Amino acid sequence: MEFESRILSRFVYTTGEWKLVKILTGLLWLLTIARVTLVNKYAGQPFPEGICRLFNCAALIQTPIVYVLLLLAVLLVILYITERYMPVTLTGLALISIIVLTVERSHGISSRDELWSLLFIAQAIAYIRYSFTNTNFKQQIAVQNLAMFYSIQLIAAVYVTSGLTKLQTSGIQWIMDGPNIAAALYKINAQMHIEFGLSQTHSYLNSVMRFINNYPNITRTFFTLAILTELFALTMLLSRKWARKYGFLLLGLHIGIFVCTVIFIPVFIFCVVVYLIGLPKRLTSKL
Amino acid sequence: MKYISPNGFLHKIVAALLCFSLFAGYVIVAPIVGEEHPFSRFNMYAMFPNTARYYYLADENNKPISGARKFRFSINQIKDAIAAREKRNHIINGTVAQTKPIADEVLAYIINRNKDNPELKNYRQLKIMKCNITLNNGVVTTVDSVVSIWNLKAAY
Repeated sequence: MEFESRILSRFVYTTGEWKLVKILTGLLWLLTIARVTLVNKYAGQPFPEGICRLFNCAALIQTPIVYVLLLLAVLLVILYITERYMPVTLTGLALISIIVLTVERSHGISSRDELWSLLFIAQAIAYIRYSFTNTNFKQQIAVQNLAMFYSIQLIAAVYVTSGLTKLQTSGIQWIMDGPNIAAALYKINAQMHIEFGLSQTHSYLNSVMRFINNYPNITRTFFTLAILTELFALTMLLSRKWARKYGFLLLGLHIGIFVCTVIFIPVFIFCVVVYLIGLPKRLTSKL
Repeated sequence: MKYISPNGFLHKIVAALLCFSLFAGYVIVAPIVGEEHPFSRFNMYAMFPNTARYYYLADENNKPISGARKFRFSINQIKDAIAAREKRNHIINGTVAQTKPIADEVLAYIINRNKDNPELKNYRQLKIMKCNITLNNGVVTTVDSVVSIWNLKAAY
């Protein structure tokens, strides 16, 4: 308990900061589940995974039930932002997030949206745990500090898992074979040509491929830095200051990935900017 | 005893594990559970072979069609849908013959999702093509093959 209190005392957030984090998390999550339910309109679950193995989740995102689900989601987001019935509210948000996003996964589509559900799970655990702690703990630690600390734990876990998977799958060859990413870049280039009509021969990705072919060792150096950044992500759990510093490092990693491959995963950038780097004080001071 | 005293080494390790239990729990459980939302191994680009492949929609003349713009099913979704079915059938980097029944299923799925889409009337056939890419000494070679065909005028 003492150890935890010491760590938690390094993660201090104002209620204004927490409110803005909740507003952004709630609204962007709503957009994500609206994309799955209203735009992509998945019917059935041909490859049930996770919670969809237990029951037919897809039935919940069919009209007219989906409108009830979305209304409930909006209501829960309002309760979340206004800090009402948080253990129940966050459990509800986590459940809806898991169900809706698992339906998408159950179609074999991987949108890399795990972090949305993980944020709500972390915060639900934080609030449930907080409700069982004694007055002494509550006087020392504000609930938003615990919620942010738990959220950052799962963000760090995702990066470390990603790094460990690379080591487990390829070992040191992940770095040595790094220049072979040119084959993947050719694929992305061709896909963008088909999908968006972009030029295949004079494209930006073509120049990246040429650079990788000409400088394989520079490419390997970048790959070494990238995997080290992922593996040492637990450093962000030392304090809020470290989380912020590491956030900038991860933002650099994502910018590097975007520059090299044009791959951009919104929820990762969101977590890095909002949960790790933090938002400007002038935005949060009036909340 | 000094190791388990309140300031002992073991005590500190247990305290740290409890404090970072969410982090430790996910890092341990996710690789075991695998791809079961919200768990994942995040295995995107976990290896870099000198080969790559992708699938795309094409018309009767094998001319590529933008799935995202015309049939609400992107080129990445075609790849994911085929990969999920290959995984179900325990196929790794399947040959054209192995992929054919899977691609037929995916093409039927895309057509079914678009049965009210007027865009379908613009084509006599819709195909899924597979492109195999190989990189050798900085030189890329590609081989395109048809893995599934759907005769649209006959069906609609």
